Amino acid sequence: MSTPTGFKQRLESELSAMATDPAPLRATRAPARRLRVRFAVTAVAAAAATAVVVPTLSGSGASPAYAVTKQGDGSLVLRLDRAEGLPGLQKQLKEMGVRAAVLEGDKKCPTGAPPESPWATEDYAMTFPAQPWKAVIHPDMIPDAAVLPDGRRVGAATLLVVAEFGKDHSTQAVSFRLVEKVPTCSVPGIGGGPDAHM
Amino acid sequence: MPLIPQRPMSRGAPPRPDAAGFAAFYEENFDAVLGFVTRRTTCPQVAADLTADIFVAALEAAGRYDPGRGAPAAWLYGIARNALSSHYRGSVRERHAVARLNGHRLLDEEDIAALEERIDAERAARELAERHSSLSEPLREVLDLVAVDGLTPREAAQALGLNQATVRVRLHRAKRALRAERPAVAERAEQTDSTARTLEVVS
Repeated sequence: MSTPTGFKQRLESELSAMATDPAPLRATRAPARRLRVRFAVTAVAAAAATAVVVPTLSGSGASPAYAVTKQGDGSLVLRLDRAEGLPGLQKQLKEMGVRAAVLEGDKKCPTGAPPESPWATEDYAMTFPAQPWKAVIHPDMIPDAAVLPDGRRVGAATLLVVAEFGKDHSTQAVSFRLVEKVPTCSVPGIGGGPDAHM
Repeated sequence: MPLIPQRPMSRGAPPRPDAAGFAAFYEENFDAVLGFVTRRTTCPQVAADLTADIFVAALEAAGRYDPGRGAPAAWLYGIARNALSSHYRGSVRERHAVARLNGHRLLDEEDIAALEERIDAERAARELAERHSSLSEPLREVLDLVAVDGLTPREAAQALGLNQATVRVRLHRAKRALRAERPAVAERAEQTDSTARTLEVVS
């Protein structure tokens, strides 16, 4: 199959220059967002500098329906086991100053999937470790509003997390995308990072 | 023309942020990325812009690539999908936000001719993707990655942020929906799915 060899070589040169001197890339990326974390459970925060765990109990009281754990690098480990944990998870993220919204997927949502934020290709604000039903939010990857070099203003992004639950209310799947405006509903399966396992 | 590429994207060489490391990754994946974009546009300039967007985004993210989270192929396809959706959402503001390098400015006449040949050669794949347009977005994106781009269900799951069971269910639903509309198309989709499963087993 034919190859645009000149384009290929010139693009390689441009990329090589960017890799050697990454400053121009950084200049156009979303500014690093300062983590605005307010610890809701200050006593726990004082006792454990690297982790804040906030579980809520399910109806049976057997195990937490969700948990949020702050790691030493500022990322947040999420665990969402059942649908009843969703409101608490949303509330907790808000209290921790994370610009994130959590919705239950609605296949009949009239507006479908929300438009992605223009920062969607900057990075992945949510990744998934190997453990099932766990996800890691990277708050510094949720870009703030920014003024582009041409003077245009791009709104701040919000991490929209859409969960799907089974008939027994257990979590079946989680997807996410960065949005500029949080919708009132969303269809499930709105995508996510390439490394998602949930 | 086979709609399933022999190997969609690199499974071996991980992306690295240094110049030499990324050059090797670029060399290994340039053809696959070009295939991805020429299966989705008939414009050489847009193909060049998208190719540049995808590799610039990959370079920026290379330092954070974790092989434990997925194969390079799925990682790069996730980036490619985001670059594509950002481009086709269409606002000038969004294109400015994601474009760090104008790929079309790197084209000469020979490049444009080569891209036009490439775009012509991918016509069948674009037509296949167009037949999926009646599907809902969740079904279409899964079917496109598997049937048009040749990803395995596992790679498609990683690229889309879904679990494999969800991808398989959506593939099944997509084929069922297509079968209801056009039996011949559904049959082809089923064949490509079988091929993908074979690739997954032997990889």
